[in-house]
Amino acid sequence: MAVPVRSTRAADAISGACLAVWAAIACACSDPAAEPAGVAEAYPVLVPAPPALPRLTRAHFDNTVVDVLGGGLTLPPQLEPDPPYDELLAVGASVAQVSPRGVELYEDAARSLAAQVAAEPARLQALLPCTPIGPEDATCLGAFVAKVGRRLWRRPLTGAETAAIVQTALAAGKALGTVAHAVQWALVPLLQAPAFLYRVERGEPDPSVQGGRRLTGLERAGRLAFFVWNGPPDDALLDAAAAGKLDDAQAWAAEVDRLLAAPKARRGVRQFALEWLQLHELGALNKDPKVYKHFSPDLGASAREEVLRRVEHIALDQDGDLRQLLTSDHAFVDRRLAAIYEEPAVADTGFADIALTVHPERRGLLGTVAFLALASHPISTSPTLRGMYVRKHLLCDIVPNPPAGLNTALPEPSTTAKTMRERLQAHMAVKSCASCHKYLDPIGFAFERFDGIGRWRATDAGTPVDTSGRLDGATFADLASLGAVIAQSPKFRRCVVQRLYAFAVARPVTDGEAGEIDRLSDTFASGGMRLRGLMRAVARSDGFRRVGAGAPTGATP
Amino acid sequence: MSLHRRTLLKGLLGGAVVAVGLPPLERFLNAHGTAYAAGGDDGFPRRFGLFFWGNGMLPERWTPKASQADWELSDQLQALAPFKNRLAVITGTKLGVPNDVPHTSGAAGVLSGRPLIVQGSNHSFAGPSLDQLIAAKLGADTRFRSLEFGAKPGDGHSWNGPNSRNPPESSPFALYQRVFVQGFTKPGDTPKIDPTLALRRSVLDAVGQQMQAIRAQVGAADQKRLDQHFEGVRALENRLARLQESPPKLDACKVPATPPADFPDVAGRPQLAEKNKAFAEISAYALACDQVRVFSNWFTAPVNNVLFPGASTGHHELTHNEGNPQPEVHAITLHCIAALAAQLEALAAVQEGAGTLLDHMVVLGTSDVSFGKVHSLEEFPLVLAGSAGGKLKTNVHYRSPASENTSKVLLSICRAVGLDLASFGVDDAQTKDGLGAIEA
Repeated sequence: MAVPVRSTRAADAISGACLAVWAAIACACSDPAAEPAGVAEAYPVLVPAPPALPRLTRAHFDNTVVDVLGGGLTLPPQLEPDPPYDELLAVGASVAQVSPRGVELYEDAARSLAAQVAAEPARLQALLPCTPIGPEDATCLGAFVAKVGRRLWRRPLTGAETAAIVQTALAAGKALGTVAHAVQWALVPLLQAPAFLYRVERGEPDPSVQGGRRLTGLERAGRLAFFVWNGPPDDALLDAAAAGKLDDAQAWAAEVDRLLAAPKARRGVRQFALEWLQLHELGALNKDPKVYKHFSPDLGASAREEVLRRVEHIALDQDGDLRQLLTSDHAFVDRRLAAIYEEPAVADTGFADIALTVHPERRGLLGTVAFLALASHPISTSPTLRGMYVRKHLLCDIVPNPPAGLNTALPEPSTTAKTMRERLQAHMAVKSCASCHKYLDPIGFAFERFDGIGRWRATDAGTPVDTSGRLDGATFADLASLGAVIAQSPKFRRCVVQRLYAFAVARPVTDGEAGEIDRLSDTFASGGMRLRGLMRAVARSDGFRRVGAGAPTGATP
Repeated sequence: MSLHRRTLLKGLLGGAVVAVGLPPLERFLNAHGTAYAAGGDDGFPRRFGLFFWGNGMLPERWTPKASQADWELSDQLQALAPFKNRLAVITGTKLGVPNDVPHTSGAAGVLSGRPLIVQGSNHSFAGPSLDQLIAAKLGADTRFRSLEFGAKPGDGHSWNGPNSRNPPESSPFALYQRVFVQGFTKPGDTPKIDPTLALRRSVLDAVGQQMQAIRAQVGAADQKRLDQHFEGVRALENRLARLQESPPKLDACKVPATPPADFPDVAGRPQLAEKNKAFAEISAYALACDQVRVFSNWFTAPVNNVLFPGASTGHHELTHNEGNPQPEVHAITLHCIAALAAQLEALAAVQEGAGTLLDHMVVLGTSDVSFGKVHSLEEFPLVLAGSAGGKLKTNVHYRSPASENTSKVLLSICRAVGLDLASFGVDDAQTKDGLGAIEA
């Protein structure tokens, strides 16, 4: 298992619980020397990461069901959760273990899905490659297992694997009496097999590198499809892999482009945006309705959809510069969001792309309800949380936890400190607080003209809001100009690459891959910061293709 | 022990369905709820319940004034008055783990006695949480190894080991379906013949074998992940084997009323108390019907920002931002302790022999910190209810004179429910001795 050395180092330092060390780490947030040079030099040589065993995320599971068994099935209400790791769910699923409860949930899911398929003759017929003459038709059942199993497991089943599943299906057919039952009980084992739930990446010798290894064609096909489509490979990709065609660089590039051009690429782009920007957290958005009259329990879902559509629009509809995500003066709004933005509603239902005219300061991601509400408290804004979001997710700075035992109280309003900025000034006077707050709060003050769910306010506690500040040496006047500053930051550029790369390989990134990230960052920059182009570059990178030495058989820790 | 020969269903895969009557197994309970064997001294099986709420309490209003027998319930413990003679309140102890990640470190410390593993923003327990440690022993003989649930949806802190936690159920209706509808046979009734059970078991058996094959091909860390998964597969297989058994009637067993499918927010506030009450009843009867012997109730999570009824803002926010003496935080703590009382009430309502279910088990109520404002791990909140069949003292407040290690209490609990442990916790949190003052 790869260990994320970068974050472990920080964690080790903090566990010393030493304020001085902690402050030094916080300082690193804005040390200009830590910024990448942005000049194409000799990149550190790639040391491929060891093979991983990613588990399907919840999204992978659902999309596999839809792609292989067809839409319209009731998906399981709960599955083993995907804990974020290195800020991404896809990485967490490679690290986390399946709990005993998780096993029950997977078993329930397999039985429920199989029963639903068996209950629909039309669906059954579409999935069967032949017409069984009865529940004991082993030949036809075998053909079904081979066909559907290959899609679900992303590889051809061995003869023995197929035979074992056919045995179960035959036993079910005999005991329960119908063809549908036989097919149902062929699906149950297919849907809870480790070959389905895990992506086994063992690799094979790489003829192009002395002593090196690469993912096999099938393994690479799976990695590519889950990255670009957020779902399983289709038959064409599996066919190409099985025929050995994916080992050819040109053929591989053609497949990468085919996947990127397919409608299913929207799923991949949306999933990346969801994980990178922490939009999954919006499901639990919690605001006091007495303070925020525009809050309703489904606001989080609207806010999430707005950002997903924006990223999708920039990356795929326009194939445009991702920096627009931070600078765009348009928004995708439904009626609920339009009301919060004080813009006219466009349609009774659904989303529409509108130009923001009422408050020109509202720009891009940082002006969305998603960001402004997520990084706030239930009854107030939080410059600290908003600054932390920018640091962590847009600049990939490491922000340590506050030391335990500190009084982290937000200072109460007083006659001399009414506004949020004035109240937080108290933190600057205490050295242990200031060491971190000075890297977070000044960013967060930029958003103080937007309340805890993102509505405009000209004043805070009756005082006009001062939104100016500095970020890593650059000055900004307000939300809009801060967005522009971040968009131009080399840290933002590298951060997108770092997250996308980790999302693509679906495991913690290792130190030996730093050169790949650097190189891809430069490619991203020279290509005009187009996300689709970056996805293509990642999929074609050596870090994506190659793998470290396999584990010795039977090794134990 | 092979159970296959005892299942009612035989020879399904051969095509013949034959029901076979069998003598009761040793691990079944008789009608009075006492075990044929392997129970406590009183014959009742040992059970354990964990009740966890987030964000701590206010030590000054929490700690009962006097110690030992003449103690009185403090302000914050008033809701537990009906159970005072079955409580042991322990104050003044301290967690022996570093407080690296406020809140989560405390949860790991009190529940596992081990420092939290911190890798970037990913945090993991380093070993099993108390409920799972106990379930490994008490969960072997029942339909469910353990049940995890909580009124506030969240991930809970029921850990099997590093990076492996059991997701709690957040819908009482779903938990009810799981325990009392799907595959449930009331003790004393004859189970309905279910020909799919044998199929399910054979599928799980095959899945287990496939996992072993993959195991040989992956690195050490992934082997551990597969081993954990494999253990879950085997456990489920074993549990399915039980579903066609015919345990004798249990006097205490009753199927509770079906809970509502939904608990919609009221005035923007989640109905945590109502949900918790439903969970409490389901869990009590899950124990009474011997479907499970270990549960954990994750009422709210560390750092939760729940808007409680009457509160001006979220719980976590108030713990840090409300001025002393924190009247709103106090009111929320009362809500949490009232929820603990509701759990105890449901357990005490089940008659078992001359006593109640609560007497035959022990419930630990605790949180992730003591004084939330400063994330303190001293003066840790610990409430024990039930004597585990006379193994633990009750109606007592023990105040540690010298900030003893909280792990001592945890070790006492483990031993009271029948675990043969030499120690609990690691490093500074390790102890080889229980807390004598609460052991009977």
